[in-house]
Amino acid sequence: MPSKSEVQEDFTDFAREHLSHLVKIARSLTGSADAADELVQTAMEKACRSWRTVMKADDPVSYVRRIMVNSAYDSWRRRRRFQQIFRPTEQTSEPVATHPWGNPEKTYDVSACIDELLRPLTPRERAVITLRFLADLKEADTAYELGIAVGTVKSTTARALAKMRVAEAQTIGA
Amino acid sequence: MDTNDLRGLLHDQSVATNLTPEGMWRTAQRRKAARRRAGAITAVVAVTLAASASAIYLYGGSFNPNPPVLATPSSPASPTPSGSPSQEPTTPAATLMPVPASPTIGEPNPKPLDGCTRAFSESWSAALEAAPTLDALPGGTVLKSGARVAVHGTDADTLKWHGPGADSQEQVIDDRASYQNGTYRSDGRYVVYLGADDRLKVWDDQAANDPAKVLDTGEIDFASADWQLSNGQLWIMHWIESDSARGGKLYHLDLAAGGAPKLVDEFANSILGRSFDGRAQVLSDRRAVFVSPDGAQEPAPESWGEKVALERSGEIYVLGVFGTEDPSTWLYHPGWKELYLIEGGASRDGNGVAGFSGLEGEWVALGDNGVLNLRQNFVMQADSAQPSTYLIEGFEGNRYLVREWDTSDGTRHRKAVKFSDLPPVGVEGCS
Repeated sequence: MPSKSEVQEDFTDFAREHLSHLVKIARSLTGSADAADELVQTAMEKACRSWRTVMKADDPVSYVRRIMVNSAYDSWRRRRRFQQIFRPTEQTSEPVATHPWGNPEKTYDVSACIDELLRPLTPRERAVITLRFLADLKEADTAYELGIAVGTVKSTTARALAKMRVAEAQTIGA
Repeated sequence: MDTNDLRGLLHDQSVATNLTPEGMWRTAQRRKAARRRAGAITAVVAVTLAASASAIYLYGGSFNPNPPVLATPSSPASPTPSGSPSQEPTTPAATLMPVPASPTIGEPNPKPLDGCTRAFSESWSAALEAAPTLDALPGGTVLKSGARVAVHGTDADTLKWHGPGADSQEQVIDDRASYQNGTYRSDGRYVVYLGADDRLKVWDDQAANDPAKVLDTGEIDFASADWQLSNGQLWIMHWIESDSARGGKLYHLDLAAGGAPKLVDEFANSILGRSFDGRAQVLSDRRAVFVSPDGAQEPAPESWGEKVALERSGEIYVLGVFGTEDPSTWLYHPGWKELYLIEGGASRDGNGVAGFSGLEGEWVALGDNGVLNLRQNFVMQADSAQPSTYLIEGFEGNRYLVREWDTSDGTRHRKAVKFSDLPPVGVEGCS
């Protein structure tokens, strides 16, 4: 069995190698730099509790990523309940578009643009987009990781992309 | 921009973080130690309580020596004082939130009134106290029958029916519903939602034991469609991407009559808002228009501007702005000169009151701030000693006043009373 110092060394080595990737995923899931840091810290803490198992895993990154997605879901549920107190009805906030993809000649800040693109998405849509296009998982792997059907991944991806097109048109203009 | 652009955008985003590998390890170890300390304290308290309870039982303590009672969880704390109504304060509460001048319902040219604040009605508190305590469900909609539907499950993909009483009577409508915000909609009788197979389904509260029926929606692709219903009339907006505009096809279906949805009209730059009186509300080119099943269109009043109706009670509409995080709302009545602002946040700038959370007749729920009476222009404040949130839920003619509160363990509970069962309350005691 690895000693505590060996576990610590492996933990910090893993964090050093994958921190930027995990932060990007967390940023996509949460839409905020502060919340992303907290999500990564929370996920790594949970993983740390069984780090000896993580060390033996074929794909430790996916292990931590799954914890992050589940933790983000928990956070979304708490926030959704809070929002329902203040909002009279559950309305989808479909922004109005005047052009499907906006004006590609306009320049924009990348991080701010990503936040704006992802803002109208539901938790599941965010998770699917993050796993498909940032973690580069295939549809089947995304479905497995989220515990949903492949067809649901396809339809959720299509729905999310449609919303992002509209959001992009609003963000960078038409 | 295509999916490759999106992939590039996500991969190229900046990685600004305050985390470091060593810091994460230290924080993890610190919190782990804190959890152990908290666990040890909890264990000591649990052992102490168990020992106390055992002592009471073994030595025939007078509290209640019956073993089953010891095994019964304690009931949640009440949000209101347990004493009789006569023990409740009779003096007006201190004014915490000044009430702005409000229009009087029905008067075409209302004169501004000076609002006042009073303590929460004893009779209303008593009515709420007498109502059964329910666990607060994650979201949900109160149907006209008093039953409730809500989404459940780790992935929020199970749609359940909950009986109107406190018996925890429940029934799964669908355990493979497709989750998205507002995935199910109801008019108080029918519940229409998207199944995991992306097919639209309808469930009828008046035939609650029957499974949901799949609607024949033809070629409508619900990856880019939304739906609303009112008075049994289902409206579906299917968006078609084009080079110049986000055109939407509006379909209608009378759920009682059945059949397939019929195309009613097409709209440019369109959003489907909430339906009222069986009519669709379409926000097209940022202006709301109401559409009847026969295709007749009635534009919303000029004073609405780019706002859309979120709720209605009698002649009062609650208006909001689509596509914004600002939850501020406005009230509209055809007899008022101006819209009446209710801010979304807890602050107030002198032009509105804070925290809209439901409307029934002349009553507006203000979340943590109590309940506002529009006709007599006063606020009944929530009891600051018993922090509660007030909501108004349900459908026209079947709305409920809801009080929600958190217990010390973080569990949320609620009590609900039908508005028609509440005694009249006046402005007496206002200051």
